[in-house]
Amino acid sequence: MSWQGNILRVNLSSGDIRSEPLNMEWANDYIGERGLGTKYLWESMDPKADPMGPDNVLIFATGPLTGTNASTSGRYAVITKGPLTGAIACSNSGGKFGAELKFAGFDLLLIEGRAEKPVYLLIEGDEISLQSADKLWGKTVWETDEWIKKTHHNPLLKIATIGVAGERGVRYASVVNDLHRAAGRSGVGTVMGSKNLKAIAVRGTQGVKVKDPKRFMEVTDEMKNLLAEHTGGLTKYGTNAMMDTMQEFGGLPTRNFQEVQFDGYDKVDAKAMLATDESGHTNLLTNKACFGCTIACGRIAHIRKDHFTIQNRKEYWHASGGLEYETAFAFGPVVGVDDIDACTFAGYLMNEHGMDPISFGVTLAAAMELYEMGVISKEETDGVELRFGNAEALTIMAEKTGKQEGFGEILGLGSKLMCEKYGHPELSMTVKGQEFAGYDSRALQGMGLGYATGNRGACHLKHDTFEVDMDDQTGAGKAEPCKTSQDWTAAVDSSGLCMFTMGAWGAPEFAAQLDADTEGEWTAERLIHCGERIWNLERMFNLAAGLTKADDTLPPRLLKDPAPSGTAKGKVNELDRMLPEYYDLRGWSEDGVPTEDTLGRLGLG
Amino acid sequence: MRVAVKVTGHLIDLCKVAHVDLEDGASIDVALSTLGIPSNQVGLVSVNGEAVSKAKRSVVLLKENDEMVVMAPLTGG
Repeated sequence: MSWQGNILRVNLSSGDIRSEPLNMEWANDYIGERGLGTKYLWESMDPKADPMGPDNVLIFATGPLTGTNASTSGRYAVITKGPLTGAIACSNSGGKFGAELKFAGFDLLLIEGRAEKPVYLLIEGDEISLQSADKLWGKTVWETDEWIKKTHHNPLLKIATIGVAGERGVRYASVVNDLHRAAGRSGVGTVMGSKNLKAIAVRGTQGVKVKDPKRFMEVTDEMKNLLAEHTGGLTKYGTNAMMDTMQEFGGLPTRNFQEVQFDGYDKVDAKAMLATDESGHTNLLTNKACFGCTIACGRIAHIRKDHFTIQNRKEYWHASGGLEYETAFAFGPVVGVDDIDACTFAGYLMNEHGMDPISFGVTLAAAMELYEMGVISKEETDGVELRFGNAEALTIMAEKTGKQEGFGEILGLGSKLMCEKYGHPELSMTVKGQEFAGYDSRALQGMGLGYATGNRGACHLKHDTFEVDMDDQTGAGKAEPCKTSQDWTAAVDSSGLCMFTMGAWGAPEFAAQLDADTEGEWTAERLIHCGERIWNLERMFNLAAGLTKADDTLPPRLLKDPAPSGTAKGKVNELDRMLPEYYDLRGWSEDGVPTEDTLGRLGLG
Repeated sequence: MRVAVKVTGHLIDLCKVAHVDLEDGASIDVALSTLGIPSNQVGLVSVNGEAVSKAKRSVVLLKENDEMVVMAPLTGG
C-alpha cells in the first residue's frame, strides 16, 4: 500500500481541480517520486513546449515510502521542463511538506495551465481551493509562510512557495518548503512563478498504511541501526565536512574554475562553522532533521550581529538554515570569498527569495571573471567592485538578484545566457545551461561524465562515482560506474527516501523496505531495472525537446586547461575517452539515442 | 622515522595527531593502522601531494619527513 491511490490535477487556466486515481501500472514501472513524475510529465505535455508557457506541466510527486516511518522519508520531487536548460528538470527536497501532501491523501500533484492572476493552492483535508495571492505577490518566502498560516489560523500547514525571484523570472528560482528546505535546482520555482502560482499550503491528517506493518517495523528498525553506523560524520559536521577533503584532493572549484584549491577554505569549512571566535560567537547552533530522518545533516546557524551584512538589520538576527557543502562552495571558493558570515547571509537570502545557491554562485563567479577582464564595467554593476573575494559584492548581488534589481537582472539569467550576452560563452561553467556543483571534473573524471550526460544538466546528485574518482584521476573505467550509479540513483530518487542513505544502504536494503511497504514483489534487480527505465525516459524527453549528443559536453576550460594544482595537476577531463564507452554501455547509438532494442528491453518501445 | 599527518572531514574524530613515528620503510597501510584509522573509512591518501590508490597503500613506503594526507570519503551533498 503506502500509496494513497489518488493524484490531484489542478488546471490553473480554468480553475478546475479534480482528484483522479493514481495510475498503478505506472507506479509499478516507475516506483514513485522522480520516476513516476517523469512518466506523468511525458504523458501530459509536449516536450517542445515553452518551459515558461502555460503548456508546461509542473508536478509535485511523493514516493511510496514518503511519509512512512522509514528513515529519511520526507522526500518529494518537483518535475517539469526546466527554463535553464530546456531539458527535463527534477529537483527534490526534504523538510515536512512531502509527507504532509501524502497525509492529505495525494501521492502526486499535477499542475497545468497558467492562472490569470496570482493564486495559491490550499489543501486542508477535503477542502481544496485556489485562493487569491494578490496580497502575497512580491512577498518573500518567509513572509508568505507566515501570512498563509496566520490568514487560515492554522500553524500546522506545511507550505511550499516561491519568492520574488520565482515571480520575476530568475532562471534558477527554487521552490522553498518549510522555510529553508528547497527543491533548489533547475529553475522549478521559475516555472511555478510563470504559472502565477505563489504557493501550495497543505494540511493532512490521514496518515499512511503499509503492506506488512510488522515486517515494515522490523526492517526499518534494522535499517535505522545500519544507517547510524555509517552517518555519524554527516550528523556532526554536515555535508560541509567535504570542504577540506576537496581542498586536499585538488577538486575544489575556485574563482570560476580557474583554480582547484582555495587558500581560504578553512575559514568557511565545517570546522570553521564549529569554531568560536574572539567575541564568543559560534556560527553553527545545532543540526536539524527532515521528516522521519535519523541522520539530521541540516545545519542551523546564525550570524554575528555586528557583521556588516546584518548590522542594523534585526530581521536577520535569528537562526536559520546554515551552510552545507554546496552553499559553502558557491559563496566561498568559487567566488573567492572566505567570510563565513557573508556566506551564511547569502544562504539566508537564497532561502528568503527562493533561488538555487549553486547556480547563483557560479553565475556570479563568471560575472566576476568578466569584470576582472574588463568586459563588465563598474557602471553596469551599479557601482559594485565585482571582484573575486569581495564579500560585500557577494551579498549585495545576492539581494539584488533575489529582488531583480539593477545588475541582479543580468545575474538572474544564469551563467550560460549571461556569458553569451557578453560574448564569452566559454566562461560559463555549465552543462546544458545548468551550473556545476562543487566538484572539478579534471580531478573527478567520472563526475565530469556524469555532469556531461546529466539529464537535467550539470548535477552531482544523479550519479555516484566518488569512490572510483578519488582512487584514480583518469577516465579509465569510469563509464560503467557512472552508468550504473545513474540508474541506481534514479531508483533511490523515486523511493521517497534520501540519497544520503546510500553510504549505508544498497539496493537490497532499499528493496527490503519497499517490499514490506508496497504491493507487489520488490527486489534489488527490479529497482535497478526501474532506475534504468527512468533514466532512459528522461533521455527520451530531452531528445524530443530537441537536445542532442552535442549537449553532452563540458566547457573548454575543463577539457583543455590542465588542473593547475592538486592530485590531478596537469590533467584535463577525458570526456572523449569516456563518452563513447558510456553510450555503448547504455545501449544507445553513437549519437546518444536509445536503440530499439534498448527501448524494448525497458518497456519503452 | 617521523611522518607528518593531516586528516580531513570526519576523520578528525579518529586522529588528532600532527605526526606519526614509524619504523623505517613502513607502508601507508602500516601508518593508517598505527594511527587507528580503519582503511575502509579512507577515501584517498596522498603523500607529498601525490595520490596513492587503494591498491598501492600496502606497497608505497614512507620516508622521513613525508607529508601524508588522509582524506575522508566523499559523499556528495
